[in-house]
Amino acid sequence: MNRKNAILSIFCLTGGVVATYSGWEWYVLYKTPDFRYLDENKDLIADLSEIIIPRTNTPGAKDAKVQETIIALIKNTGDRKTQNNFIEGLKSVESYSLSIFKNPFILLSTPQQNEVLMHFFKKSKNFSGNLGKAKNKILGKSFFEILKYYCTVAFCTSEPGATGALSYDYIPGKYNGCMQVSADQRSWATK
Amino acid sequence: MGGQQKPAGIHINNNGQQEQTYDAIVVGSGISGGWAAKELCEKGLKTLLLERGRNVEHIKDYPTSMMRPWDFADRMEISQKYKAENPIQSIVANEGSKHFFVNDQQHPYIQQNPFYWIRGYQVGGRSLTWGRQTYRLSDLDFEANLKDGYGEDWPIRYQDISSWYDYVEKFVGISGRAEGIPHLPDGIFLPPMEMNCIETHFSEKIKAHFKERFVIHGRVANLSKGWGGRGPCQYRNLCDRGCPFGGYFSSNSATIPFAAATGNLTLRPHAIVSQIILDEQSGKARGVRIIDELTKESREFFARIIFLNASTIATTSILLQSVSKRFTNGLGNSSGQIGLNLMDHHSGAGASGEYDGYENQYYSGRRPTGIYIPRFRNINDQSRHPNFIRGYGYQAGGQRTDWMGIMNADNTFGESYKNELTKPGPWTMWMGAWGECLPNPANTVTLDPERKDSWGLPLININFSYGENERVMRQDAKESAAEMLEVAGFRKIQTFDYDFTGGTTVHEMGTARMGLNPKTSVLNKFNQMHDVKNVFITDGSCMPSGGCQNPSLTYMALTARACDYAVGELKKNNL
Repeated sequence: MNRKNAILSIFCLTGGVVATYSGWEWYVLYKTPDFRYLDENKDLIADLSEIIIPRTNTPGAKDAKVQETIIALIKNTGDRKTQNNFIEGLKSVESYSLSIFKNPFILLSTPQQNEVLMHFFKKSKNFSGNLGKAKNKILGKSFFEILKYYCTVAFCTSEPGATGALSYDYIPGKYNGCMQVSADQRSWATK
Repeated sequence: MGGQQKPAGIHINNNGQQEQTYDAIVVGSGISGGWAAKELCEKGLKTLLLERGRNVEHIKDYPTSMMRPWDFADRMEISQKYKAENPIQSIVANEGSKHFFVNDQQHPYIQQNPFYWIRGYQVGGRSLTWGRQTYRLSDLDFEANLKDGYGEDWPIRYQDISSWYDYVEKFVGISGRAEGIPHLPDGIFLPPMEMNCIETHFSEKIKAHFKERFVIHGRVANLSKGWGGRGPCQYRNLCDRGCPFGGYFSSNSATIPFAAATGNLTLRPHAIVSQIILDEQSGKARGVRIIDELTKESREFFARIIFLNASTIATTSILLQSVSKRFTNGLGNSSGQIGLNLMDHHSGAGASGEYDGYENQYYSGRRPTGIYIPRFRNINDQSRHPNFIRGYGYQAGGQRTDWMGIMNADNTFGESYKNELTKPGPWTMWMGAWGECLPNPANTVTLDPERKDSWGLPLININFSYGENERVMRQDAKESAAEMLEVAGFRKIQTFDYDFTGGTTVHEMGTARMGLNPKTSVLNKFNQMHDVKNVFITDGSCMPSGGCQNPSLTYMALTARACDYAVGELKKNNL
């Protein structure tokens, strides 16, 4: 059990006093988010997103320019913990890529990029059940969860995502409650 | 678009110099005020309709109604800035509808206990953003207070109002189906909006297993066919932005244009009513005093009858502000009842589940309603519940899991994730209870003696909390929902209880109740004030009890009925 887990276990057992968390880590969570870093790393966000929702025979994350939307949504709709966790996460992606593959993320091959993201995916699964809920409440969502959430929202609400990968009917005009569909039926983009 | 025509013959009273006297004044242009204006205008009365907020013209003032998801900067997520400035309205408002909700900073109120006061200060009020579910009350509801002793007995019974339900339904246009359920009376319906595969499945299983639980089509004020020059519904399910097709009923799309077409309507937006002016000699109201929202100037308008339809809490505050020698504690308040017995419906408790099957079935179009399970507790001796009185109905709906559900599942990323995201997921069913709240005199609306708003009017103080009966009922609602899903073969059943805070359901009622006895009630059986005969109140404040049905249809029927009575009395020179 690493240090964070140990602290969170104590939170859960005792009902938790926030003061046991180190000053530095609180600072990272609540400091004024470094939006410039966000703007400067648009390509990194685009590459990460393309790993999450790749182009197949339908448009992918980059086709939908999700990086632009993700940055806007993080800035406008994310709370401070989400903003900082996302920005710190991007920095961790860079340092992890450099330490394992000796290159920044955007210069890695697709399999290498997949490997890096898998590392962060696994990291996000370190907590489960009540411990996970307590963790999210206290520390905010993990980098991977935030990336996946905003990438998915940005993609599925984009024109290429909604009309090219999903199915979008602007003005349906009628309702059919039960109809036969084929196996390759796409899901509706809106409800 | 949808054969709409611009409302003709509408007078906008902007200076009020030349026109200060009318036959009737209606305060508030929401769902009941719109009806009052229409009825009074159609009966030939020169009517002034006062609205505290801005004008919203049908179609023209629905700026987000044709926007696609990608046209929204925040993709329908709520921005932190909006949430911080509007902690209450942001519970309900979204990026597409937030211009139809007040700004919490500009319109503060005091909460003794958390109470969400969701408001729309504009012409049309909350009729623009309402849930559109429309169910009749029955004698099970009208007799409830008398039978169990909570609250004041209703001065009317179903037979007094049934023809008025007919009357308003014919105009509104309600999609639904006759079922012959005694405690949820049938109405005059347009064709129902059909059930989807899983809902039909659920309906059949419940019918086979339970004797007194029915799964019926949602009854909704959306038009399944063109009606009175409006609609039909285009199945976009974007109603809360205002509908450019007139696909659902609102004051803006329906009652106000009809009122205007008579040539008798004068609409004055930005008119905050501060007081009803009493003529101490005759004991009748002479008119109203308003504060112009923009210039903050005060001015008076006069009329022979006044309809107060400002919505429950605002109507209460106007009455309490209207003090005089005769009524030192608020207009028509000799009973002392004004401001007591605030009610809402409690909602947000229920269950959901997944279903294996119907993999090759899907739906198209976005139906703006779901299914309904009428009350089945305490409807007769056999269905009596040992632990609570009154009851609840479920609003429910089935759908196939979409990307919004799939992204929260425990999945990874890459091609497999994308594949999952873009295919219809498993069928699910959600069912949530809408439950009755007992009238309780401890739940109050009062005026703060010191603190004032930007217009110098006292801040409203809301003191509301749910009681034990509601709490116990909720537990049963969760368990019964889970039981029904299990019976219908669902798995992964989860019960939920989102938010048990007053105001959540936006069905405020009860603070100027009707009753036979002037000593214990504010309004008589025609919604006429016992104490001030030419003032009528037909918004939610008149309700002695709330039933568990969505209440707007009842306000509409009571309004039309009260207008008919008021004009009759006027003609007989009784007012």
